[in-house]
Amino acid sequence: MNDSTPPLSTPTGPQGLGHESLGPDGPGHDDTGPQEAPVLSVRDLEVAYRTGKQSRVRALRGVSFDLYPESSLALVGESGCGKTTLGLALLRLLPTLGEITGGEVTYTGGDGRSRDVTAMSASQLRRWRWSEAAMVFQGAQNAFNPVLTIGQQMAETLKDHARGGIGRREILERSAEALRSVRLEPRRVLGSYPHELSGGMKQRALIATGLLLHPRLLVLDEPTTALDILTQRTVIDLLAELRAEYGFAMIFISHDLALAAELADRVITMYAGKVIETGSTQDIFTAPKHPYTSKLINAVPPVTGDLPELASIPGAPPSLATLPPGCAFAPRCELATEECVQSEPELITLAQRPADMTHAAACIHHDQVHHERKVIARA
Amino acid sequence: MPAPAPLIELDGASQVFHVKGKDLPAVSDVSLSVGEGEVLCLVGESGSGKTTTARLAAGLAAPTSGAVRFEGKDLSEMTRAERREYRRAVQYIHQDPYASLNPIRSVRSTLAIPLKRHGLARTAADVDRRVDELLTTVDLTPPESYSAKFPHQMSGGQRQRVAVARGLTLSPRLLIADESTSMLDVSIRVSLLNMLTRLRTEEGVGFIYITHDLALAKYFAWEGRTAVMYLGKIVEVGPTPQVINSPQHPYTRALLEAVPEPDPELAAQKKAAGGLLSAEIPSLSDLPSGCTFHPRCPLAEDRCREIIPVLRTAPEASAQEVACMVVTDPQPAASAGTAPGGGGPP
Repeated sequence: MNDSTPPLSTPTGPQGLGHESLGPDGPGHDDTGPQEAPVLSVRDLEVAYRTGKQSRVRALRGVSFDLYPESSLALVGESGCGKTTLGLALLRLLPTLGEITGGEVTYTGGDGRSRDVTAMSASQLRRWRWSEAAMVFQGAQNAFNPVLTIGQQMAETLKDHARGGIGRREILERSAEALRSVRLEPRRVLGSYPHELSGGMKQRALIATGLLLHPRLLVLDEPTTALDILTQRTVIDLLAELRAEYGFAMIFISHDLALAAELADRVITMYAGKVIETGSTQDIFTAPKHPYTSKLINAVPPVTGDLPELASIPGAPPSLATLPPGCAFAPRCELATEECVQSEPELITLAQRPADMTHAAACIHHDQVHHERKVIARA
Repeated sequence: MPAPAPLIELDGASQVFHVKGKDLPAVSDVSLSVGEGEVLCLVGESGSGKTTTARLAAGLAAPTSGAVRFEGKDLSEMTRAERREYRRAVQYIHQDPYASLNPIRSVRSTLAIPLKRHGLARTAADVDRRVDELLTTVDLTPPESYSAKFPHQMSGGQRQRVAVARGLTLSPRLLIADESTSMLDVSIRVSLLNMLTRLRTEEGVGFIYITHDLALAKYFAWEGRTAVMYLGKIVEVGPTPQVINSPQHPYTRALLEAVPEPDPELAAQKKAAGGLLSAEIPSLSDLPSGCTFHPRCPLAEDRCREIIPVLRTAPEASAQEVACMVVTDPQPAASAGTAPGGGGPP
C-alpha cells in the first residue's frame, strides 16, 4: 500500500545508470497532463548514519513526495526528526557518516530532462548544484568563511559552478545583481567581510549566493532562526517576493510552524525519519489529522486574537537507534491504543488534491484528532 | 510603609559606554519596577538596550546615572551582607544554553557549587537531595539519570533546563530570563515558559523576561506588563493585554506586524517589513536627532526630527505610556510649531 503516490503519472527516474539522459516518455504525453513534471520527485528515500563499525541507524525511512515548479514546501518537526537530513540528502550533501541506502531522487530540469540525483557522479553533482539546486544552510552567523569577503565567496561559487566558465566582469555583474535582488547594496557588501554585516544582512547575502545561478530549487534550513523579529519579517517577505520573481521551487526546514504558515503552499510533518502528515498549508493548519502536527501547531503562540493555552508535547522524539514498536509517536500520544503499538501506520489519504497537495496522515486514529486551541483569555 | 517596596526598581537608570572616544548611550533614563510574583517583559530588537537594562537590574553592571534599588535599597549603598542577600535573591538566566554551562562540570557539580557556597547544603546528602528537587522542578526526571551527565551529553532543551535549575539553586525571588528560549524547539520553549509561570504563580517569584517576539511576551506576561524598548529608551509601556491589543507607538505596531503567525490567513494579512521605512536599526554611536525612531517611522513629522519625545499617557489608551508626539499630541495637518509643553523633557 502506497497512498503517498500521487494520482498523476509522473515520470520515474532512470535506474541509476550514471548518465544524465532518459527524459520523460515524450513531449506529447506531458502536454496532456494538467501539470508539468515535478522539479523533484522523491521515492522511498532511505538514509542511514554509521554509528560504529557494524552499526547504523536509519535516519530517513521511506520518504516520498513530489515538488512542483514554483511551489513552496515546509518540512516541520522537532530537532532530530530528520528534516535537515532530508534537505541534505536531496542535494547529496550528507556528512561522511551518512549515506543514501535506498530510493530515488529524480530531478527534472527546465529542459524537461530527468536525472536521478542519487546516481550522479561527483562532477555531475558539481555542475548540478548551485546552477540547478542550491542550499542555504542554517546559521547565517557561521555559513560564510570569515576570512574572505562576500564578493570573493560569491566569485568562488560562480567560478566553480557556472557552466562553461565565467569572466571577471560577469562575476561582478552577477554578484551585484544577486545582492540587489535581496535588497543589499552591492558596493557596500561585496567588499565586506562577514563580521562587518548584521545577522539579517548575512542571511540575505547567503540567500543571494544561493540565487547566483538562478537555480530551479532552493533548499533553506531554518532561514529565520536566531534572527530578530523585524529581520525575520524582512527575510520572509523577501523569500516570497523572490519566489514570485525568479520562479524557483522552495523547500524550507523549520521547527517553527509560524514560518510554514507564512511561506509554504504545502507542509510535510516529519517524525522519527518518516513523513507522518502531508497536505496543503490550509488543510494542515485548519484540520491537522496527525496528533503530532496538531500539537506542534498548538505550541506556537499567536500574537493576534485570543490568547490560547499553549501545551508542550510530553517527552522527546525517540532515538533513531531504538525506535519504539509500531507508531514511533505512540509513547507520547494520548490517543495511542494497543493497535498503535502493533504495526507502524502507513499514510492514509484523507482528501485528494492535485499537484501532490493530497492530505494524508499516518495515524489510525486520525478521525479522533479534533484540532482546537483552548482559549485562556479573549482578545 | 504603606506598600512594600518592589523587589527591583530602576529609577532613571542610564548606562553610557565609552568606545573609541565616543559615548554610546546603551540605556537612557529607564524607570521600571517588578514586585513579588509580577512579570515584566522587555521587548525590542538587538541593540534596543533590553539586555543592558536586564544587566543593570541583575547588578552585573552599575548605572552611569540614576539608581537601581532592591527592596528600596540602592545597590551602590549596600553593605556587604545586603549585597550578598541581593546576589542570592536575583538570578540571571543567560540566553545561550551552549555557552553558559561549564563543559567539564556534571549537572550535579554545576548545581552543587552555589548551594555549598551559600551554605544551603552542608553534607553530600543535603546536596543530593537539593539537586534532585531542582531537577524535578525543571522536569528533568528521573533526576538520577541526569545528575551525572555533562553538558555535551544533553540536548539544547535539557541544557536550558539545567541553566534554569542553576538559577533556582539559591531560591531566588527575582529571575531575569534573557531570551532564554529563543533557539529551542517550540515544544521545549512552551514547557519552559509554563514551568517559569508556575514558579511565579505558586512561589511568587518575580520575572523580568527579555525577548524580541511579542507573541512570547503576550503569552508569558499576559498578567503583567510589557515595556517596548528602542535604542536604549522605553517607548511604550503598559499592561501586556493593552500593549498587544491596542499598540500606540508605531514601533510597537511594527514589531506586532512582524511576528510570524501560526495561521495562514492571519499571515497573509501581514504588512511588508512591519510597515517600517527601514529594516536596519541605527547605530548608537550616531543616533538620529529628535525622536531616534523618526528615520524608520511611517508617521514621522517634521517636529519628530527636532523634539525628543517623553513617555506620556496615551489619549486613546489610558493604561499605557507612550513616547511619541504624533500619538500623544496630535497636530492638525500642518507640521509647524512645537506641541504645547512638548519642548523636551520636563
